[in-house]
Parts: sequence; structure tokens; C-alpha cells
Amino acid sequence: MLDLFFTAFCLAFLGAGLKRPFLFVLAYTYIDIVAPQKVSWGFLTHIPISLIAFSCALLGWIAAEDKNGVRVSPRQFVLLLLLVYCGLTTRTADFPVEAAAKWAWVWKALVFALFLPLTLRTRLRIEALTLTMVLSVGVIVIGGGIKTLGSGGGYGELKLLVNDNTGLYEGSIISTVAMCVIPLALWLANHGTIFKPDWKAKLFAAGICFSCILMPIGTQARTGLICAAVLAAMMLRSTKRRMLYIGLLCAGALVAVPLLPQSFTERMGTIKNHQADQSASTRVAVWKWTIEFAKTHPFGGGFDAYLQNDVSYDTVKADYAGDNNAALQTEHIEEKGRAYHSAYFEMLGEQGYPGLGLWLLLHLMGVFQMELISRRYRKNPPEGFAWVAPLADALQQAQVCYMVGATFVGIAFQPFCYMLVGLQCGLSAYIGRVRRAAPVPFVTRKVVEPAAA
Amino acid sequence: MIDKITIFVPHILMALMIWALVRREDLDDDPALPNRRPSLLGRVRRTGPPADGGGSMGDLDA
Repeated sequence: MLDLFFTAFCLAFLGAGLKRPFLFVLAYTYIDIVAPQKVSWGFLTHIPISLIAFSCALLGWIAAEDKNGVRVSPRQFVLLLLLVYCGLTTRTADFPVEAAAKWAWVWKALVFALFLPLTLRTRLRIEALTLTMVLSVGVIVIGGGIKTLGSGGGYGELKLLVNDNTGLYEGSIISTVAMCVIPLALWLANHGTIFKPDWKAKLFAAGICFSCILMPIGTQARTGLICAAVLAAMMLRSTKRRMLYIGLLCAGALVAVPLLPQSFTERMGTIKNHQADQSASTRVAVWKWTIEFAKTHPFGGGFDAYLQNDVSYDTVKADYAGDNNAALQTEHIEEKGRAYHSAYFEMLGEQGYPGLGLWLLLHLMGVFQMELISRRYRKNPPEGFAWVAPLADALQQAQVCYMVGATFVGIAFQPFCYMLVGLQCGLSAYIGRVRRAAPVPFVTRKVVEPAAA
Repeated sequence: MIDKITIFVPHILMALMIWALVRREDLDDDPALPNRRPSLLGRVRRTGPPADGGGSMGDLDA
């Protein structure tokens, strides 16, 4: 039944694309995030549904889309350079087979991010893509949120839609992505035109946001908690009633903290003392190894270069037996082939300094680009453009959340994050086209009052 | 049961979104941008913003 439902939905989505080719782009976005071929077990698992959707989107754009005014932005050029550079490092990778396997999905994410801004020609398309991203992540987080409320979750215990610890179904990744989705959902609830921003839209957005907040609790991913704190601080900047916002945050924290599962508070406590936690200690050891590796491999070791690492460290555990009385227990750990657990070190180890530089440039440009757009439209926006600054703020917040989360999770090539990049480029290109094509709304007109008789 | 809720609710909303988008002219023609050229698929394109504000056919309640 479920299989039939997903098959019918995908076919309907692609069928709608025959009438409006842009819907192929949304179909690919949906398929890439939800991965219905993983959720179902029949027909969809046997056909390359993702490839079909992307091919349709590309052909639809080539055959039926208006390409006038389309320009390649400097950021897309950086993305193209990163794509070419990653292709080159794959050819000389230390582990050619594993590198080729990663390259097989990385290039698709980068090419789609390059392609996306070319299709985002209208305000409605930008909104539709944002809505598709939010609802697609909603497919994962709504269930995760309900299960967290019911059971409290647990590290590695929360069963999402797919019992598959890869992609967006991995605890730390979904916790980070869930935080990125919150500002986008709030923007849709306030400025959407597909669903009117009435109480029903706001209620659903509140539900999505609540589910997103529950993801770090359910997965017990420390990364999610840090992202939540960063997002809360960033939203303070864009909110109008700051004192009310701070009051609500404090009240929410006071109510929520006593209700949190003990296993969650214990795990979050290891943020302060990483030496007691093997997972955190492994990260630090792998990061040190990567810095040393980059000294001898400044151009990177290609995808999955971490497989050659060999790290050792000591964990220190303290058993408290009363006032000022603790027994320290040191354990020596040796591990091989441990993943980077950080997008920054993932880039450094796999793509070297040039790759890390390009990746940082790509994302920092996004933060500054959104800041420029937000400042330009924040005060007295032209009529019909009041949505621009809040969207730029939301995209900037999502981007910063991603960059903070990326410190502790290897998501340098996570396709959802490149969709964010594509969305930012699309917004920027759209604003550029509007400014070039229709300068009238951007000029303050002085209305001359008729002289009194 | 929870998995069914998490699948069906967003999918129903996405289906409504698709239904709305198929019917909205401003998906391909932005009112803030000048009209460019006719589509190869032969759709008639507007020359200005729609009289109803751009979304009456597609506006849906969540």
C-alpha cells in the first residue's frame, strides 16, 4: 500500500511536470530529500527515479524555459570550480574505488545546485522550492518529533521513517538540517502565497518547528543543540519584539528542561568534557590527524581519504564518591579509518587547502550575499517586495546553522545544503533581474500635490 | 500509525501545492518582471500582473 502510494505520488509529480516543467525541479528536490525509493520496497526501488526526475528537469529547462536574462553568478562559478576540482582529486584519490562511489552522488548535488538558480526565475518558484524543501524534511521530522514525545528517543535509538543511518536519516545530520528548516518554515508561514499565511498555515509551521526542535532531543545529537542555540541567537536579530522573544525563550527553557530525558542531559553534559566521551575524543584525534595529513597532502587525498587514518587517544572518566573525592580512570583507545565528523576537516583531508578554500568561499559568500539583500530591503521595501528581507534573513540563518553544524558532522557535500546554496543564488539572481528590468518600483516617487485653488 | 501520519500529512500538502502551482500563471511569468517571449509549449503569457492579485486560483488554506 505504502509502495503504491509513493509510486503514485512520484508519477503524479512527474506528470504535473509535463504541464509545468518547473515541477520536475521540485520533483527532484522531493526525491533527493525524502528518498521514496528507500522508504518503499517495490517498483520504485528498481528504477533510477532520481536520475529520471533530474533528466526531466534538465530537458524541461532546455526545451521549454525562458532563458532570457539568465546569468551565471560568481558564486555559481565558485561552485563550478569546486565541482571540477573534486573531479580532479577523484582521479588521483588514495582510495579510487571508494572515492568513485562518493563522487557518484557528490557531482549530482553540485550540478543540481549549479542548475537550480537558472530555474528560479519567479518569486513563486522561489517560494515553491522553499515549501518543497520544508515539507520534504517534514516527512522525516514529524514522525521523529512524535516518537520523541512518546518515548524520549535516545542516541542511535530513534527510528525515523527509514532505519538507515545514511543521508538525512542519520541523527546528527537530520538534527542540523531540522534547525536549518525552522527559519524557512517561519518565513512561509508569514509570507507564503501558495498557502495563505492564516492561522492554519501558522499552526502547521509551528508544528513543523516544534518537531524540528525535538530532533536533537530525540536523536541526542549534541550538534543539534548547538545549532538550536545559534539559531535562537540569530533570530533575536530579525525579531521585532525582542524582549517578548527573550521572555518566551526563557519560559520555554524553564518548562522544557525538567521534562528532558535524563539520558539527553547526560549526553549534552559531555559537550563541556570531551575527554570523558569516546565519540568526541575520536573527533579531536581525527582532526589532529587530518591537519598532519594535509601537511604532506596539501591538495587532499581524494574522497574517503580518512580510511587511512590511525588514531589513538586516552579517555578520562571520573567516578565521584563524595565531596572532592573522585577516582580517575584512564583508558587508551586505538582506532583506524574513523570518519572526519566535521565538514571542515572533511574538505581539508579530501580536497586539501584549495578545496577547503573554495568550499569556505562558497558558503561565506552566501552569508554576505544574504546580508546585502536583507539590508537593502529591510527598511521601506518597494511595494510587493516585503518578503525579500525576511527570506534573505531566513536563508542566512539556515546557512549559519549549517556551517555551525558542519563543525561536528561530515556534511560538506550534503545535497540539502547545496539546495540552500542554489536557493540563495536563485534569490540573488531574481533580485538582480528585477532591479535591472523594472527600476520604477525601486525609485522613491515624489507625489506632487495639486496646488490649492 | 506514526509513520503513516508523517508520510501522509506532508504529502497531502505537497499534492495541494502541486495542484495550486499548475494553475498559477505567475509560476512562469513574474508580475515584477517584463514579459519575455512565448513559451515553446505554447502557453499564453500575460503582459502584466493578473487582475486578481496573482494567486486566486492557487491560494489554498493549509
